[in-house]
Amino acid sequence: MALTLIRAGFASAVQDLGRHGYQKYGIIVGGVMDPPAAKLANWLVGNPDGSAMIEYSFLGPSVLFEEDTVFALSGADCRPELDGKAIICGRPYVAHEGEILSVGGMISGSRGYLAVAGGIATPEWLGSRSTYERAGQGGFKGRLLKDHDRLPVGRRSGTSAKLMNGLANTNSAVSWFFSLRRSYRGVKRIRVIPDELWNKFTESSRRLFQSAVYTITTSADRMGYRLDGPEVSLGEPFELYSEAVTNGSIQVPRSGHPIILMTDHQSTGGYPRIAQVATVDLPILAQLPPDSRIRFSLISVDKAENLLIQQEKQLLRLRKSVTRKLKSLTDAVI
Amino acid sequence: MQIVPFGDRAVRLIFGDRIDPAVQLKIGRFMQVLAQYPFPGYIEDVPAYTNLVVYYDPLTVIRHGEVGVAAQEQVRSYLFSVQNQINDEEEAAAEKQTVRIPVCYGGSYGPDLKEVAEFHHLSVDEVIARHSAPHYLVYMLGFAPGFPFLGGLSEALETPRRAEPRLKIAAGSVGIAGKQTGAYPLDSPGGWQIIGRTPVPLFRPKSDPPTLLSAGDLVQFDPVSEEEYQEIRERAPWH
Repeated sequence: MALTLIRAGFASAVQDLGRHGYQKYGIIVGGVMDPPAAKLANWLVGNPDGSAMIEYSFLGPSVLFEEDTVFALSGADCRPELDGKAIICGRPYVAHEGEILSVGGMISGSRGYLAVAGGIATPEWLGSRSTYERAGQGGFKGRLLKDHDRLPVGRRSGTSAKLMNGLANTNSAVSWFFSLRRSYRGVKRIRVIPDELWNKFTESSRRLFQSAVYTITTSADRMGYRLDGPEVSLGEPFELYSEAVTNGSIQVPRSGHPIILMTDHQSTGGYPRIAQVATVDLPILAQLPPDSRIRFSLISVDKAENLLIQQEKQLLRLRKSVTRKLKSLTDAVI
Repeated sequence: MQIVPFGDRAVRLIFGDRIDPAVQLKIGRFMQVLAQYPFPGYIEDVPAYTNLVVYYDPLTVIRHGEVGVAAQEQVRSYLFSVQNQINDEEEAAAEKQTVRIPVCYGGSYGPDLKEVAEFHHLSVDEVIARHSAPHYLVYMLGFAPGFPFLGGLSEALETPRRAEPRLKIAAGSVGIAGKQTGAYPLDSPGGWQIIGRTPVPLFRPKSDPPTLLSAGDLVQFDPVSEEEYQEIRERAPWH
């Protein structure tokens, strides 16, 4: 079983939930930029959380299915078509052999996910299928996807197989969908936890950092976002040795313009950090395109943890509703 | 040891404030004990010159931990108790093996060797001798897969970066930048003074761990001729 990318889209790559345990060897975690959206796509096709899928940015791929396949789209909103017929994000569909899914451009948000029942079955590297472009490993041949690439698809789970029949017997006009109900408009508040180096920045820098509006520049990719806005500076320059940095670390190079490290950041860095983005706000950040405006607000670690727990509860509820919905579809078929 | 927050999914354990083999030893020892006694929710740790970052999943920590206590607080307590298991007196440093890395100095593999020698008013042979004498300590890996941050470069060889960085430095290139020396695991752009090249890959994607070196290892560079370089490359099992 396989699918072929007629058009690869932009910065499309095979990703899963990342490669953990190897940062001490200089190997990045990587993986999907928006884990909740990626998980939703997997749930919709009956896959486990960690199945590999295609992540695309701004422009989605066109995909030719070689066999009947259950798929779902989530993440950034778009106007996809299956064989010329409009479909929607956030629900599963059956693509029949020879049909073409055209994802198209993003309308709201930046990163989208295409999950197929059984998952993308490229070989694992160090326990993950995420693409590590710089090392030329993981994903599809260690690189971004290109037009005409043919990707292997794994064996469907029992749920997915039943879902295939359930969907085949449902009126395609049945209209329901699941979404994470996010908005990417306006000035987004991004909550951050101060770094241990916070106090090394000048008082006015610390004040500005919390009050000013920063704009995400066009130098924004899976490695990091350069921001435009008021400069922040250290009180007294000091020598910082290279040390571990993380997804959401906000580094301040000598220019004074902050850089937020994103999913494909290097495992270590040598610039002073002013703060770390709260984990709960990383998926929103991942979806903000260049020119989006953000404002930072400081929160405590405890607060960040509580927000994360709340988000997890919401996701579990969403997962339950998806499971119920899929069950109602499959139970209808005897 | 001091523990500071590093976002909401990690803490930074600070063992010292300067580049010092004794600090590296403490970090290495802590990593050994933590690897032996990981906690539920532990993900991984990343050493650096003066500190160690421990990553964890707060949701797993909370699920398995004490009710009503924040995940980071529980992780902090746990890591302090790990530190208490370590007795500096008893635990003698494990005898470290030195990893010998063959290097072909100069020629097309080391285009900056002559300049480095001239900069220090040394002969090329003296530069090679001084660079290949020390047992360098691997403090950490980072920047790229398998890229070692080495300590122990002779002060007589400290050389500023090139004014014009190169767009491509070949994998295996051995260089000097300020007080640092090291080898590039992958083709990369860079401003290091390149004095030689090793035929031995530092990044080994087919192995696990996928790198030749780990933090705490000792490294010595072995000067080899161009013929020996080619021979090692050809008979190497990693191709």
